[in-house]
Amino acid sequence: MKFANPAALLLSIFIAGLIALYLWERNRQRIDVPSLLFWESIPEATNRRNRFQPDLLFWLQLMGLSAPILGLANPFFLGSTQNQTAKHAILVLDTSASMAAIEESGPRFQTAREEARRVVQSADSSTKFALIAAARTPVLLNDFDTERSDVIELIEALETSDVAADLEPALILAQKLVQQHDGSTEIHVFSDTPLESTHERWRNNVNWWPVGSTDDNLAIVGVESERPFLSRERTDAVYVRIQNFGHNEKHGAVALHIGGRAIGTELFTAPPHSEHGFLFSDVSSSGLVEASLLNSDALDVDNRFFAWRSPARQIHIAVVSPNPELHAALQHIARASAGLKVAAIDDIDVDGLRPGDTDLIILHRAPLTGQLNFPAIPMLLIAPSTELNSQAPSTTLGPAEIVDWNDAHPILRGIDPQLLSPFQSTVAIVPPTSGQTVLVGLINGREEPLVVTTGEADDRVAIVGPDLADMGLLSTDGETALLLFLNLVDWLTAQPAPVSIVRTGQSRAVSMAEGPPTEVIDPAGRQANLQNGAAPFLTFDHAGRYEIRHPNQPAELVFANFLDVAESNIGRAPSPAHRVPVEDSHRRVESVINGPLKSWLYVIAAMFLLSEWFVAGRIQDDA
Amino acid sequence: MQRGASTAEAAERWRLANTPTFLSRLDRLRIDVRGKTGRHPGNNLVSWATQASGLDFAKHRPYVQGDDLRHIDWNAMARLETKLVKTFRAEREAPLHILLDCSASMGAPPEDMKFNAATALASSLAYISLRHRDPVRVAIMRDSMAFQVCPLLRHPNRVPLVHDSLSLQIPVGTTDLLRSVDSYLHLTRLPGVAIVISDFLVPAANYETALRRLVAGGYAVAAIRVAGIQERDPTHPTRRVRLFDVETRRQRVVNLTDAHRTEYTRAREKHDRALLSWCAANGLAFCTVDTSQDPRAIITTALPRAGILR
Repeated sequence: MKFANPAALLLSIFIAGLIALYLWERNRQRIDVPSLLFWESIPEATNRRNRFQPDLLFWLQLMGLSAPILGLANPFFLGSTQNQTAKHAILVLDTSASMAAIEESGPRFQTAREEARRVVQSADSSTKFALIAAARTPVLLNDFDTERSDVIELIEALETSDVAADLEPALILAQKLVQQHDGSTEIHVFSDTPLESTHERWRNNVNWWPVGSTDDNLAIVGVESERPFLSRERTDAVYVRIQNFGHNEKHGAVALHIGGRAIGTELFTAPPHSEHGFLFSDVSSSGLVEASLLNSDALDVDNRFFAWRSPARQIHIAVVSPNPELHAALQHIARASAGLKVAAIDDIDVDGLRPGDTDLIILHRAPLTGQLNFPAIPMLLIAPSTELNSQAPSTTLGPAEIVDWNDAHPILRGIDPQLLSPFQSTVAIVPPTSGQTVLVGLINGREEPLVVTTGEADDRVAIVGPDLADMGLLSTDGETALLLFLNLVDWLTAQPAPVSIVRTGQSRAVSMAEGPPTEVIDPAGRQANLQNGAAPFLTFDHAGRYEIRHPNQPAELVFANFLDVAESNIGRAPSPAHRVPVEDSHRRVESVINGPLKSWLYVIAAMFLLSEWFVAGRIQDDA
Repeated sequence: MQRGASTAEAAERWRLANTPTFLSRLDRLRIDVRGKTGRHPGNNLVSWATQASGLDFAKHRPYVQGDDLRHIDWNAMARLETKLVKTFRAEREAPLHILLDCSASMGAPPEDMKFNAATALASSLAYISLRHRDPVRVAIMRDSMAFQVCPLLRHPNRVPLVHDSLSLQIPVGTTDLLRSVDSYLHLTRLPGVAIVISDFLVPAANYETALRRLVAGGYAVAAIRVAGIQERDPTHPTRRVRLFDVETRRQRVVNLTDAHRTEYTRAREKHDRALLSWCAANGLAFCTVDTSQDPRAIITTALPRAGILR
């Protein structure tokens, strides 16, 4: 038996007071007699050695005092965690990444499983159970008609994922199940999330079984391997950031591999609650970047991080423009960067361009003959002529002031679009059907698109209404325009990586070009066959390498990173230095704690006191 | 005649002797000496001696050389033509020895007020004796010893001294009447009347030998048994009680059932009857004093009835 309010047991000191009073009263029962001369013939009542001989009155008083003390202490039985009348119970198990942390007694999730199993096994035989796995989204694993043994099997089969916890949806789902059963349902949550961090509406309505206390975790919180646009290989670097979430100093090493080659290993000593960065410079390799921590801690999932490093290459740009100043400016830019080569061509040579030789075609005020249908070569149209935009209302519009933009688009990365305005003049453009408007300007009181992009991979097209040639790309005032131009070139000429880097918990559409995928192999090597007609979205709940197999095409590789600082901070117990025993951290809903046992104890106390009053009165009358 | 009492208890005891009616009754009482007198002249006529002058004519005897001529009965000489001398019955004093039990049993239970009653009796008897010019000596018995609380008193004006001395006493210690009497007999050899005031809660052999010693010492012995209501009929709110002997400090736990109380009463009455019988068989005056009774009735009625006073 345990007590919800054990401090009330301190009132037991009054029982000591009762015994002292009894002994004192017993002492009061002493009668001073002048002599035992006339009493010696009368048999003695008790052995004189038994000094403590409580009578009925004493026992009644003791019970009358003990019962309310026990009631105030609010006892409950550990095995019986449910109201005897509860017919349904919902078990919510937290399957987030932090539950995989290893405690002294084993994995946190194992402890949670054991507690859940104990709840199931100790419950009344008529109680039905439903199981909810809570992580990124809640999953109801069974209905209430499931046999108890099957519920236990489901509990044992549960595993943690590599995503952050969000118990709110799971609790809402559980609450909806409760409402379906007239409230005679209990909710039990097994998680390492403190109850105090949940919404206060749950705090008195669920049984909370917190697990875990260790904060021993060192995690990789970021890898930056972006090669700056047009940079030289030998100046490239990779930056790895780690964070120590524990209260102890950690020693370890961080290793970097790119494209399967070891780049370097850095040793470190991380003080408690600290961040560190490691710069791996002079990196020339390209390919899959894998950073890993070589140390032992409680959580392993955040000890690896994947990124992609594209190979360095030279961009060949063919420019068609009547403006020699633009040609000169582009040549100047090309000379300044080893990764760029610009060639001026006549428009009649455009048809002769081949994708392998030319990476980008820039058409500046060039009237196009035919359609925008060049063989797999990205295009940048700057201030296209009316022949190209036959639907344009006019050739040139007045000054344009930027009023809106899509700051998520890569061509605006690092740019404050407002610094571009106002444009002196712009050409009206009509966005293609599948186009994406990146910049919007206010022209003559009307909002008009200024920059539009369309296409994917090799058939990307960007249409820019303002004439960048008039913005002085090489001048001080044209710095933002130059950045816009370079971003456009970067985006148009970007090579798709052979692998995808995602974060765990994300969903992503898979390629359907050659048909839907047929199977997925997760980082643990488990194979899942995808049914025909299944949605072409995959969710990556585990960190590591995923292989998505398509018929008639090479497998698609996806690398999922676990990156959640809040989840990596696994030490959430009030005293992370010590382990909170699971038995002492049980909490009960007030309806269970304030159940009939406490009330009955008060009733019993009243009965004992009434009996004591009656017996004392009878004794007094007899005397 | 009497001085004011120094304590409230003494004033209370004095109250008994201060009321005119009560004093007049005490004045009429005398200690029944039963022939036990001293050798000093007093107010008690004795039959075993004559004296030349007095109030009570005893007999004539022939004149012998040396007799005082004033004591010759000239009328008898004229009739009988021989010289005859009148003799009178001698009057001797009858010292009163009051032996007061001052042990702890006399103070238990406190509600019985046995010691208060005993000291009041002692004071009244002292007054009666002194009133008739008989000396008084008061001694307390405690812890196998006897202690004089005051010297031999001869004048009624010394009665307050008896009160004051007794008011300072506290009933403590153990009771051993035999040794206390032996101790007292070593203190004095002044025959007279010895009145033992005690609760007599000792084995019969003890009090019998003690009283017999007094008789052998030439005393006219009287015993006054003092008892209270609680001693006569012990009661308590709880059935189970722990009896604590205030003298021996022994304890005994008993259930105060009706049967046990009856048995106790039987034992007590047997003890009292034995005491009464023995005193009667040995010519000792005996009286049982119940502290719940009126003290005046005790002195004016019970004691004379018992032969202690007349």
